Amino acid sequence: MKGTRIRLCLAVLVAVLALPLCSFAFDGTVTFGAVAPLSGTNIMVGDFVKNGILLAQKHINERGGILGKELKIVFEDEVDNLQASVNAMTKVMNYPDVVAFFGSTYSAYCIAASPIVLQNKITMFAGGSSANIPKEKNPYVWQVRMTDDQSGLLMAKAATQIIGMKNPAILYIQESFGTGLMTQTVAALKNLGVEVKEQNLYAHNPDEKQFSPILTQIMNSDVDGLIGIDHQMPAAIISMQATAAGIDLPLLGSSSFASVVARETAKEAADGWMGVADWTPDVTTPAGKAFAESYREEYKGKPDSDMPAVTAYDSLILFAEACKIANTTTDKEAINNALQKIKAFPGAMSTYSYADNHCFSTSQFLTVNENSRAVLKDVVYTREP
Amino acid sequence: MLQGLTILTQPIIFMQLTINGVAMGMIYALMAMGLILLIRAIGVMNFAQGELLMLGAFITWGLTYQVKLPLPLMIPAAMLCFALVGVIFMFLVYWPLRNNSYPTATVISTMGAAMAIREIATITWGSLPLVAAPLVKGVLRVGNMRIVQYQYLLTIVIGAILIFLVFMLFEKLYAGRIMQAAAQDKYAAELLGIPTILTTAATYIIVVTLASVGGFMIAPVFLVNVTLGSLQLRAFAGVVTGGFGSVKGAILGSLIIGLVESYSSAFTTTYKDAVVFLVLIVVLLFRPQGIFGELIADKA
Amino acid sequence: MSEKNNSNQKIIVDLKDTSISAISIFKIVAITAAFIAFAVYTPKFTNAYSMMILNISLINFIAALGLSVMLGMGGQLSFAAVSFMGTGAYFVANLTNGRLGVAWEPVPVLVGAVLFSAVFAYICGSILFRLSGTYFTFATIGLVQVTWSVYLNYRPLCGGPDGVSGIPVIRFFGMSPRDYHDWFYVLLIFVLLAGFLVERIRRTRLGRSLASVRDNEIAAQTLGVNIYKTKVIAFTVAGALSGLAGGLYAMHNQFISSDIFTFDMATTYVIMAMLGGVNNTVGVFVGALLVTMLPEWLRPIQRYLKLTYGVGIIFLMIFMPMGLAGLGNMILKKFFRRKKGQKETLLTDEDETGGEV
Repeated sequence: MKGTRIRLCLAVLVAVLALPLCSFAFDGTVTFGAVAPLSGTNIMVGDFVKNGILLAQKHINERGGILGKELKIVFEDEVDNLQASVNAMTKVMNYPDVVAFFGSTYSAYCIAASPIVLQNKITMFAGGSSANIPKEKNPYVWQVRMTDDQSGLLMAKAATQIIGMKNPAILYIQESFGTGLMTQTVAALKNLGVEVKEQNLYAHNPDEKQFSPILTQIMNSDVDGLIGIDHQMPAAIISMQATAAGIDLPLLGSSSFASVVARETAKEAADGWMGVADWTPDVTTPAGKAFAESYREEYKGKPDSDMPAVTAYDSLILFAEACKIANTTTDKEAINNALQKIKAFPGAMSTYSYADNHCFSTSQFLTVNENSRAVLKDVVYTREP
Repeated sequence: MLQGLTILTQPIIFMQLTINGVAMGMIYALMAMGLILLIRAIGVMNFAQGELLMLGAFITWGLTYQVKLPLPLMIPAAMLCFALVGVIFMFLVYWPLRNNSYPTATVISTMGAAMAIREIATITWGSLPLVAAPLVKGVLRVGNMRIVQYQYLLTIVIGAILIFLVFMLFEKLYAGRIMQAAAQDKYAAELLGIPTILTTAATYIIVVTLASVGGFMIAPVFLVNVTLGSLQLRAFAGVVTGGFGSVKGAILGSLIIGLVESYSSAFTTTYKDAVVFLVLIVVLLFRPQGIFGELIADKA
Repeated sequence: MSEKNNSNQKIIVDLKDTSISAISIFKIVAITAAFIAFAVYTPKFTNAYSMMILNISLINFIAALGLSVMLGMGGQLSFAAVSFMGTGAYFVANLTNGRLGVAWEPVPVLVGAVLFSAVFAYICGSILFRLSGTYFTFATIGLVQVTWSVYLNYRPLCGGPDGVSGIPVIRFFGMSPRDYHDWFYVLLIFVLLAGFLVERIRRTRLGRSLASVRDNEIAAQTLGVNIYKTKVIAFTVAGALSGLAGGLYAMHNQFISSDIFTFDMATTYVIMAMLGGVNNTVGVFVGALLVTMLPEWLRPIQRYLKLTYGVGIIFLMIFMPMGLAGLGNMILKKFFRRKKGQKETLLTDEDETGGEV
């Protein structure tokens, strides 16, 4: 009798210990596609996207998958050029099981793939932020990030109302994102009464590393502030070269200037840059903080979370939500339509709500780089979530 | 256009742009010198020159920050690595093709090597850009104005010293003259007992060292990353502008290209590439042998 | 002078007659059979994605063919294919999508694009061929950089960094390709046209003049070949082919940007031509196919893809500088030589395994 009781206790003990080892009994699978630069010159962005997607997959599957089905991901490498990116997105769209996917982080490639998305009638979460993406009026293309026309407005407000610039110089990357955001910022500044002179607009080629000639001209002109619009690596180089040149103008940067790559590369040189950022790991909103901490936990030893990672993560979470709303994981059309019902959904990067231009984000962060951290100053909203 | 001229004529800006241009020109000159040496020894352009510069930047970064060697130890260790790279590069890219009468094959081979070197660097050191501290921190000041970063000045000085040393090697030292002989006529040189394989290897080692030092100098300013290789196109422009067969020409041509690039930023920041290469085409049209080259018929 | 030419032609014609040997017949039959099989069976076994990649490789073939005219037939390495692809592409884009206020029929515009690229190539060639050999190659690199810079920055005609989107597909008598499978057949027609054109040129005086310039410029000059004019005409033909490829690309992808017309892409075309056998049209076809499809086939080893590619190129140049076509020819010769001591009387143009370039 005693023996049986011991055995019973042991059995219960084993069962309890084994519980975590039993995964949920999933009732099938649902596949989500993801395109990222997994090789080539933009590989660091690709690593962030991959990490974000995998983290979202982990969280979703831990909570029982989507409608009881296990979430599977299929990745494709968009390398670093237009044709390869379009190839990757086309390939993902043509997988029989994929019902939605995360597209390129680069706006120009998203626009190039738009007609193919339309033909395939499949939901794409574009990773780019250009205001030209909604102009395609593609019912299947959605943006999680704030579009550049809104960012431009926020940048202009920060420049004039918080910093007080009256005659800024703008240094931007000659590329779809850069020229787009620059145009929007200049237009917004004009509406706020600040005219940016033609000669104070400095464009640079995408693979430029030599900013000293431009910085020389900026510093020797009569501008009272510098606005930087760029990708992560040039942002880092600009910060470093500007500091080395001894710039003492107020500095306002786009999202990348507050990014992990820029801060960890430029270190002290990145300090002092104010930013209108999509993301900072020091965010204080509950959903944001949860993401930032679980990312840090999951990817110990790797750099902190950055914008591409959060964008990918939130896209996948929104997809899961849309499936729940539509109560299906196979009807692509229903899932796409369900995205219209997203309202005040708390994501890591922002609170998401449907808008006619298919852009979900309602806010960005105002940050200041201090001691190599992007300190959150404020959350600025462009509309009611 | 007019506005660009008004910018250029401001003395401070002009001086800063000039120093900047000369510093960049020095980097291009280091690569260009390597290119010329290879042309004279082998007869083809090396499309992996930029990648050699990049590899040099990575190797010196690795030795300083990963192996954590102090500067006096780092330099000889780096030289050793450069020599190794030079020999490997020669054996992979040049040696098997040395008797091939299809020069385009060697050119393509260097393109393949460029790709391979880029990927090896990415696999070994990862995708994020790496930071190298400048050898000399700080900025040269005159009164209250910051004129130029010390690192740029150091680049100019070290570049000039290296170029001078290589020049001395070829013009004055016996070893240099042997190498020139082997380059001009391999068959005759071998008849004279000159070991051409050694001279070719020595050439490659010098070329790799020159480019790698350029990478080392420029890394603190541009960050150590795989896109550093794109600088080689300017070096090509420098070689051709200055005059194809001439080492002096290559150096001066590169300096000119560096200056043109720097000054052109006063007029346009985005059409910079177009300006630099238009200058190249124009020079070639009016003086096909380059500015300092000799009128020697090109090898068909 | 004309006597010399006549006797030249006579000799070459005689030699040509005797060169129709067993190998040539075998090659023609085999290639035609393979091509028909390719054209008929491929669309049955491929999905939309693979079809798209195949279509792109067909377009790349046309551009690489232009390059092989310059390099294989003429012995001049030119990187300028992408520049003229750009002119063709932007010409088509601007005149068919309505951004300049006009939206004309695609086919006439395509013809216009080819002509425009040809004229532009003629002008550039006239200027650039004042230089020779490696200087010329450098000048073409310069040309590529200049045009790339314009394509990236000039908003009015090139859309700046945003590129040009919304380009309509090709339309012939009211019919358009519905999907990539239909496009495949449309492109095959152009591929055949381009291939026949180049083969035709190879057998005309232009082709022979080019070959003589390639093999020995000074001797060619003594035979009365106008080197400068020959090279410029070849460059124009190459430019026209590249323009055609560019126009087709614009209509196939419906979006173009300066990203496609970079120096790196130019080197890819050179590799395509060299891989297949730079002087052999079928070789260039195979080369274009392989180089375009390889990154897709090798996706499993993603991270090591470019490394394998780079090392592969080095080995290719070491062991097979005349490309796959050269390898094929060598195998065929060995095979046929075993039969009855039949000797190959004269090397045709295609059989040359390199020689001085």
